[in-house]
Amino acid sequence: MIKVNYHELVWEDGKTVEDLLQLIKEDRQLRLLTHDTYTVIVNNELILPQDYAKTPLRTGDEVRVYPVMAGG
Amino acid sequence: MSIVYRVNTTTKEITHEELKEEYRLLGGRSLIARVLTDEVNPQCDPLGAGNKLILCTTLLAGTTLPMAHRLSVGGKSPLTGGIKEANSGGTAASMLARHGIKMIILEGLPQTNDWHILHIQKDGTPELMDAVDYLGLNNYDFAAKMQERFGKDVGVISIGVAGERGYRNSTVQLIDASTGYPSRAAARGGLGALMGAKKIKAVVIEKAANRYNFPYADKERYEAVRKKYIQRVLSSPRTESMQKTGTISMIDFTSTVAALPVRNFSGQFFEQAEAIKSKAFVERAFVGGGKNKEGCQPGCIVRCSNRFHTKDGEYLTSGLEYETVALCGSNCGIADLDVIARLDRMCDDLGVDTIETGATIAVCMEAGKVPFGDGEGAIALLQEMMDGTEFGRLMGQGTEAVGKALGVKRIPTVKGQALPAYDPRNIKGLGVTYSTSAMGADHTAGMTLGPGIDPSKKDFQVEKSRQSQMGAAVTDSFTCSFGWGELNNDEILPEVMSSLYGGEWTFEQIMNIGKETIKLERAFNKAAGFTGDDDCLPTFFYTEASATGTVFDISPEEMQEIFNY
Repeated sequence: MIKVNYHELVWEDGKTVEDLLQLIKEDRQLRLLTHDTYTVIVNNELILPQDYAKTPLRTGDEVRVYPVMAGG
Repeated sequence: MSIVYRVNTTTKEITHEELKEEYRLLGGRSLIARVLTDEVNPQCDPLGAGNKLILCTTLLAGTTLPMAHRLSVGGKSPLTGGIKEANSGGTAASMLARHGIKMIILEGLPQTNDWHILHIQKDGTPELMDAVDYLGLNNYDFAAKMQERFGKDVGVISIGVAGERGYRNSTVQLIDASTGYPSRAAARGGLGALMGAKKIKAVVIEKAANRYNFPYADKERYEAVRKKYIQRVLSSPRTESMQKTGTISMIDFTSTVAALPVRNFSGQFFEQAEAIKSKAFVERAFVGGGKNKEGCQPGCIVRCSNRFHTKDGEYLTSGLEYETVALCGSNCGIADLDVIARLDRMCDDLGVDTIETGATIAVCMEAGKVPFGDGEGAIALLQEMMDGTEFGRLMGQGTEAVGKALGVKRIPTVKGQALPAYDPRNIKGLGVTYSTSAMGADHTAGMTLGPGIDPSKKDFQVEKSRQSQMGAAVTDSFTCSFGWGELNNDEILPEVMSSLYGGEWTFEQIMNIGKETIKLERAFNKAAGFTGDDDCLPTFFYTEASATGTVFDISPEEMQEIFNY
């Protein structure tokens, strides 16, 4: 189990940030975001886009994902 | 785009001027900042003879660039007492541009109780029409009367009864291009009351008999960059998602990080968020014949608007937006999209700002006037504003006035204007924007969500807000913000400006328009009496932790650094 934006998510250890973002994009229940420009924070550390595929997520990790957008 | 009409509401004289050369490369917000600086005493009474209401088009209006036609409305704000620019889509900017009209200035103050409509005739000639038959009409009925009289394609910029009564939360409404209803609003800062003080019920624009041709400096170069821009917008994933759900999808995100305002900015998660998220909205929106993918201005290719019908199939409202769903919904504890849509319709019809009104209702709920979550109670409060009861008129003075009158301690305003739908404890850069913008609390003055910064931490937020505020001042001078992402880069924007206005523009030169605008706006507010003490969030955001454990922790002194540039 990991936390994504303060909410629990069943997770297979070792899958990466990139896997998470793909899941978010495809799963309507999880879909936090309106397009694919993100800021990703894992355990209070900023993850750069080039590291998404190299950053595994493990049980207990706390992830926050932010889009870029403005409401009208 | 060089025609300026100046209407003296004291003498009823209308004069035709050519746009001053020094204003030629300004539009929208930047033009308003400059004209107010040049012509209005910042210490004037916002509803007095010294204030002026300015209506003007954006810098790219009159061209064939998609999303280029926004109408900016400006003046000294009746709500904040500071400088104000509020802009909107709709048909009016395009209608004005077809006549070659850049700006209309309403000045003076009528000495009698005669109300007028400024009528721009087919040949572009302006005249003042008696408005006596239309007084007391709200925006939907008024627009229908104008369409009946002048035809379906007439442009209408109007105030409802809220503006007539001088409500300080009143809007200037515009007709939406897709629905033909007056559902678009230059909403913030009470500029409807300023138009009402001038006793101008509306500006009505007939379709130009002879269409103005923009004097492109290099048409071939312009067509090439226009094509490139359109391709980028159409291939952007942002456009696809905006067409599906419009701005409402922002709830899908803000509700997860306790940035969605809930029960008067309590900082809590909204336990009923699923009922107002984009999935629920899309399911509900198509019931009864509602639609998405609607453009609010002619020629829009983003088409992020929508129309919402009752379950019985009757049109109810259009352009149901994130801010409205959040402020009139979760911030009032309401999770019923049908109730929220009814509130939105009532606000547009009466001509009041949905952000300010939602925040006001929530403050009433905090005071115990009606319980949080009571949709019919919220509608009844708004009905009081429509009916003009004593309490309804108090509500028309805005969130701060109501909060103070009811003895509420948690009043979510900055410079007298209610906070939009992002809780600053969890998106801290926006707390900086709310605090330091000359506009008062306004998300469009500088959104700070962007790559590389943790929005829940204070680090780099002041710098980010400074950069975003300058960018927003440029956006509001040029075009609609929802096409801005693809325009705002050094490959497209300088090329657009060079092909339109000549010379070789740089990106830095364009951004400088934003910087200069913000300097003028701040100077206006300083002369109006604002100090650094006004650049601050309400105390409760510093002392009450949100559900994620955060408080707003950027001190007023740290935020003052934003002005060191």
